Amino acid sequence: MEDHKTILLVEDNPQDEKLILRTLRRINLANEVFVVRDGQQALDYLFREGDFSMRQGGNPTVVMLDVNLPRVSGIEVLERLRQDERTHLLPIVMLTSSDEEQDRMRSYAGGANSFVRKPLDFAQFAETVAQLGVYWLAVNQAPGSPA
Amino acid sequence: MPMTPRKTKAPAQKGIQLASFLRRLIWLSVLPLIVLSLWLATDALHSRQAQDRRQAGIIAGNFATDLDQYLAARIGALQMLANSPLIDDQTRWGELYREAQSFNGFFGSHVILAGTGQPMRMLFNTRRPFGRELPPLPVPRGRAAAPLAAATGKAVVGDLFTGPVSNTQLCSIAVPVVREGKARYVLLTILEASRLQQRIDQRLLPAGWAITLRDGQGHVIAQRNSPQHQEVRSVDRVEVVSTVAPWKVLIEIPAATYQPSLLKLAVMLALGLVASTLVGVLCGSLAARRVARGVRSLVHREPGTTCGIVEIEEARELLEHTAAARRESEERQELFIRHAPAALAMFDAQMRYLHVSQRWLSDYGLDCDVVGKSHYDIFPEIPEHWRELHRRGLNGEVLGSEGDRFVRADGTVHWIRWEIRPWRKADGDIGGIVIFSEDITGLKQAQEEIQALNDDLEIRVEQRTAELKAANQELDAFAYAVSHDLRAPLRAMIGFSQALREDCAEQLSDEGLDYLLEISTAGYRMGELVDGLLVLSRSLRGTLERRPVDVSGLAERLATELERGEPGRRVQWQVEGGLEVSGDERMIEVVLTNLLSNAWKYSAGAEPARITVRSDKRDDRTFICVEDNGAGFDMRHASRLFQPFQRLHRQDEFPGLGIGLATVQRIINRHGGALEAEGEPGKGASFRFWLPN
Repeated sequence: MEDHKTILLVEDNPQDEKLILRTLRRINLANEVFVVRDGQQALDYLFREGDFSMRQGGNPTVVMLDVNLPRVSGIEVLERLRQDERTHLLPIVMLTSSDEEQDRMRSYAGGANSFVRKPLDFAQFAETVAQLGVYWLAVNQAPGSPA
Repeated sequence: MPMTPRKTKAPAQKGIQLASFLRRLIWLSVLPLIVLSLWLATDALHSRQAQDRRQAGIIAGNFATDLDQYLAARIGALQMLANSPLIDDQTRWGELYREAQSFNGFFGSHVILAGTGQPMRMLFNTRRPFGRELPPLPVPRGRAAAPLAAATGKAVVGDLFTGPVSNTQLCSIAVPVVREGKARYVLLTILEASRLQQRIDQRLLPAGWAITLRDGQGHVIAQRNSPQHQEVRSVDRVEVVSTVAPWKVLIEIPAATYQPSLLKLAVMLALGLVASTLVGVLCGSLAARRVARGVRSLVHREPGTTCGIVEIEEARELLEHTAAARRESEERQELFIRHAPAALAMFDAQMRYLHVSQRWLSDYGLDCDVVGKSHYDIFPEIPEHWRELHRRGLNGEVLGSEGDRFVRADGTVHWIRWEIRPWRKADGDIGGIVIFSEDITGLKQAQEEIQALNDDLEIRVEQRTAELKAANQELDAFAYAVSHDLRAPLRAMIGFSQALREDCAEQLSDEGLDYLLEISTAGYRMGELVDGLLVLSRSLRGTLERRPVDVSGLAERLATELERGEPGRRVQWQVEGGLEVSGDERMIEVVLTNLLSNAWKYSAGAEPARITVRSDKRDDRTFICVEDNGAGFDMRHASRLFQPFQRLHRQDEFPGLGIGLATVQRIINRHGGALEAEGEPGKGASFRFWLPN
């Protein structure tokens, strides 16, 4: 098992990234966040390919995956992760700006553990991110983790 | 119509003529009459013969009896003499002689006493004086009476013999004088045949009959009307034998006696037969001629001839009635065909026109006088495949086509619908064909035009559909992009202005902080507008799934949700039960949500606030009507109600995006329904919609 719990944030929007990291910083979870900026990077990171072929350490505790991503979309990343046995049980939270029904459906069909709409309201957004961080890193018992 | 020309020739080989048939019938009925007459004649003749035979028997019997009495009287008298004792005493033979003479006087015959020796000696003969020497008794040939009587001791009548003295035909009767069982003498008397002839002659005898008396040897003793003289074979003979003598009485009835009566009978019968036959034949001929004339007049329809026979007149009436009905039927048929609004022609088996409609004539450019002419003579250029079709029709097939293309001689293309159908004669044979044809070129052209238009329309619909699909896809993509990409910057604006206020509050003046707040407010407002746009675009996306929607239940639920969202408000809800429309449930919910939340929002100032959901019948359509008693609106601005982002109230009066009614309008339009609004400032608003089933 890993030494500590980590979050992989897949977010192409630097402003959202900043806001998310600000919020996580405030609850002291920023150090556990690794950010990649498109779907391909996310896959490379998780499968230790390309730029991340030499990556050390295990899988993150949770992946916060934006739906709308350049190169490989969030939904496709989700589906590829679920098809691979190394990551098929990895907790994945889908993040999206929209409240499109089709995104929600495809995410759950693809095996997402959560689907979270990024609220427009900053306070709500911060609270949501904080809750997610706390929930997945502290509350949720991932498969294979000590009880 | 089959019209065989009515020929007035004599009926050939179909049977015999009625008159000769009746004549034969009469002859046949006379024939039994002739047979009956012959039988009657024969029977009459036979009964006549039988009667004559009976009469002959009686006459013969009578004569025989008479003869027997005649002979018996003489035998008796001789017997008395024989029994006389005078015979035994020769001395008294003189007395005997006298007694015998009295016999002579009585019977007119001599009596002879003869001895029985051989030869027999005459002892006395009353023809001669007593005591005169007498010659021996002559004995004739054949059955002689005296020797026989002497031998038998019984009275005997002898056969005919010729008297030696008188040379006349004689018969003798001998009676023996028997003493002590032995014939001593014989008393003998001679009978002249002429006496018997006299007796025969005295008998009453029907004309032409013959009566003959024959002795035992068949010699004729006496005779009347000898049949030999008449040279005609006798047809009947009756014989009676005498009981006293061995004689026979024979009565012969010659056939000649019947001839006159037979002839008479035959002549009468013949005359009667001829007369009755003639009368029969004559009457029969007359009747036959009359019947034949009547029947002929029936067959040939000779007007004005009546024969006065009820049955024939009835038949004539029936025939005339039938003929009239047939004429009427033919005329109707002719009229029907002639003026049928279709090209119709009836042909016989040789394809000659029988009936034709005017449409046929005009369609094929013919004059009126084609009946009787051959179709092929009129149109020699008819192609072989049509002739083949005609032949198939004449063989009993029903043929037809709903549309055949053919090119006229002038190059124009025509379409015809046609049918060939055989018609049958009364005997079931095919009499010809009926052809129906209709030029459907115009119809065909119209159909082709419609088809072309339809094809074009389909292509255009496909194009439009594709365009619409593409537009929808673009709209989808646009809405998707909007929902993702427009919100992210907004979130950044709001988020960073908030972060700025939190992180750098000390470095900013109150005014600066206020400006940051305005940035946030504008960002929120922009977010709401984006959301509104998305709702509007989503209302037009997706497939429309119509099913019954319980409007009353939905309205109740939405009312509860509204109340829960703003617990402080009191609104009087009136929701009519059982309201239902047919539509997409999700979209109908959007419609009702918008209408009810509008009503909720705009009735905030009314006291008490009232929101009604009810049905409203207008122009045979049942509308769902949402009414409130709130702020209402000015009808002059009603046209702007349903345009997106257009509002009739200021934000500080009633906040809103101006997207709700635009969405409602689009959903109703998508359902093909109708949406109407009524309002009056301060009095309230009423929105009603109708959806087709």
